[in-house]
Amino acid sequence: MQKKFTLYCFLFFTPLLLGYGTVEWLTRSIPSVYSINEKYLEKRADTIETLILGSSQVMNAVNAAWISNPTINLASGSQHHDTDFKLLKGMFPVLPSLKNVVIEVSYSHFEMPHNGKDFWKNSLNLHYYNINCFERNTYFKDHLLYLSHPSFFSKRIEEYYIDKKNIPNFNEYAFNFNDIYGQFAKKNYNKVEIDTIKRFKINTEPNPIIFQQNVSLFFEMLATVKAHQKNIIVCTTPMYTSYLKKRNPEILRRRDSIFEVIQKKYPDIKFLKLEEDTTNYQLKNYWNHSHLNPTGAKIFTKQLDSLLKNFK
Amino acid sequence: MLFNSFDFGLFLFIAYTLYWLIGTHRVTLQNVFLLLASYFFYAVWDWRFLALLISSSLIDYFAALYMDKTNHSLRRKTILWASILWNLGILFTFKYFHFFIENFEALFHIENSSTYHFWNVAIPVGLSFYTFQTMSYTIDVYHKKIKPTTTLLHFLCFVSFFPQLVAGPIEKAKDLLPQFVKKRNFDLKNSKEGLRQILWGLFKKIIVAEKLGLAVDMVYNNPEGYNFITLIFVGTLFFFQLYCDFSGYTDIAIGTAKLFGFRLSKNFNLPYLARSFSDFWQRWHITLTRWFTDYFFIPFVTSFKNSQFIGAIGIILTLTLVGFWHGAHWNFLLFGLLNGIMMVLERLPLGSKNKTLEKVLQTQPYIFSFIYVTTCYTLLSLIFRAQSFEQISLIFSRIFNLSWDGAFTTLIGWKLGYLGFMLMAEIAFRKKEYPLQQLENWLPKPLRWIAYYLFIIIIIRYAESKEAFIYFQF
Repeated sequence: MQKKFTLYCFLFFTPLLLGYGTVEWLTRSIPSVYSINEKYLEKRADTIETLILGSSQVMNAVNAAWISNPTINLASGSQHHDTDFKLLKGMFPVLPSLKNVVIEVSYSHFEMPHNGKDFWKNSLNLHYYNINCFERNTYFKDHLLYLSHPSFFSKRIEEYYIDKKNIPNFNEYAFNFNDIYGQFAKKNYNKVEIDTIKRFKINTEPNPIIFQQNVSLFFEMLATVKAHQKNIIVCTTPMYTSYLKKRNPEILRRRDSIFEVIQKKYPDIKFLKLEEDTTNYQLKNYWNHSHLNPTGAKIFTKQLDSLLKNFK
Repeated sequence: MLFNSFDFGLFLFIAYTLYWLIGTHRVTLQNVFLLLASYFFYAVWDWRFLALLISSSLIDYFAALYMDKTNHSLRRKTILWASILWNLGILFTFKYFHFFIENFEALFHIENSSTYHFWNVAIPVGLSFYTFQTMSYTIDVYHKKIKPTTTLLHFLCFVSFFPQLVAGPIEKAKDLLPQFVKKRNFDLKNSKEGLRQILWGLFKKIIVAEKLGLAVDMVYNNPEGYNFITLIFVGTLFFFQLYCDFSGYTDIAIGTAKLFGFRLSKNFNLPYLARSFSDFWQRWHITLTRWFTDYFFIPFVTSFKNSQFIGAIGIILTLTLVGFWHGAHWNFLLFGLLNGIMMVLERLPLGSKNKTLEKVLQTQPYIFSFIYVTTCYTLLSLIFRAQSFEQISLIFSRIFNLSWDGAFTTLIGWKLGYLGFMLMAEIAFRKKEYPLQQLENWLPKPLRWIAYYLFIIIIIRYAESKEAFIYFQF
């Protein structure tokens, strides 16, 4: 009876495994920030002087091609400081010429929980950058990309292979020039229409306990970079006016108080605080309320580059 | 190790294969293996709390043995209370200590008493479930309803059996313990049923609960951005999210137990078809309701002169405790209290002597009781899900002021269809344990396999990264 059941299972699961293999292959064949960065690292790791870390806001805001010295942007959507820190530690031995580290501290970075050891992008970091963010020994499953977030990759597969939409237009620095799917672009940058959008992603829930934990790790990260004698830039990216208005003053006050502490503790750390810059950044420079589009990225990257030049 | 993770699938495959390879005639070896597998399963969550699980098991095992050996009433009572205090003590320490300190500080306006804040530790997963299971054992032994087991291995297995360790069903010793004693034979039908029930549970959890959860989270992150209809709608969605999440978990637990030749208790019986609050609690988390009825409500009522007033107080207290069992937050307490008050109100005489709302609802067309129960539980769900009193008051003020800013949206669109499919399947096959039971009796093999493949493809296609079960936190 057991043999019969084993046979049933074998017959049943074999097509499933073959199907999974196909889906995994399709997932890996879609160009992504990770796969482009992997290629860039293979070619230029020895020469890279600046490492940029952060969330999607920095990923959208920096095109490394416009920075004077060789730079890699490892920022990624939903990436928090704990993942940044692991990537940073993993990159030190890989980037022998590294001089500068850019770290993002957005408005609510300190009040939001870390990604943790189960973050789905850990598989991407492991597969493409060979950095283990799982905080444990890995096994074959951790290398399976599709399985790390099936619904996300299913959608990407459908978009890329079937619908042929949302096709990224990456340069060799993994910067995506394709902005036609931006929320503001879809509304033709019509201010009246955009200002009526009431719902957009913003954290307004203060969390003092998480704040304490996050700040502690952040200072540990700064200390580690300093111990490696690298320059640090702490940056905030520009936000659209509706976003600025919706910020919780308590979260903002706490974040800014940490900036003051950093300045006192590490006077040589430079800041690029552009969150409230409404002069240089106009409506047409935004992808949505909290992200820049490529035109905005051009302005931001130039400002970052000027600051980086000050280190020389 | 979440039930809806690849890790668990791999663990289950290895455990299942080795378990049956041991051979059905070696029951002790099978039990040793189950115990090790269960401890491994638990240690993957957090190995530090394994000591707590083992010490809790040992204390109750020896307490029960001692109670059985002595006839000295005071000694028996002392042992029983020592065991109960130990279990409630660890529950209080890990789950409720911080809550009481915080509220004590707030009440007496104490600031910076950080001395106590070191205790803000994670709650050991499954704590509320296994402590209740072991308490029921010692109480039953004390009342001589069951004989204690003299085999430590059986008792350790009973407390730590991995399919139901982290979120129930809360089993009674008389139901589960004897199953570790008897020989378990490999049964092809049982294995098939187990796998099918796991598949159904995964569908409920991954496809229905998680999709509903995305919509619910979106609104709860920004309730001021939604109009009152959306907020009411989200209350209903959350009710079904909670149901699919927990009953989905239970289906996986029962299915997994079946693979190893065990039967676990039914924990849900279509609660959305309840006709009243009393009926609801006989259909929702049945094993918890049974626990509180047997070990709190009945002793409470019988210890006083059995009057209607004491009965009402007993109901309110019991349901408040049921609410508080879910976690150390005021919203759970309020949820339980309101359930208790509603249940008492339903039993109050209406005009003529024997008429109560509960009885009236039983006799009226089903649609009336459905609207009544759904409306009440939609509102109660909003309280259950809220993160603070401020959020509760914001949501209710928007609902009762009929706030209209923000257009109504279903938020999850066509995926709501999965909820409809699940409900139809459960209602159509309500006499079965789960809708896919005995599928071979009415669907030929090729169609059955196509159905399985479809389920699996849909589950994988729409799975999010990693979603914990809501009840794991309780």
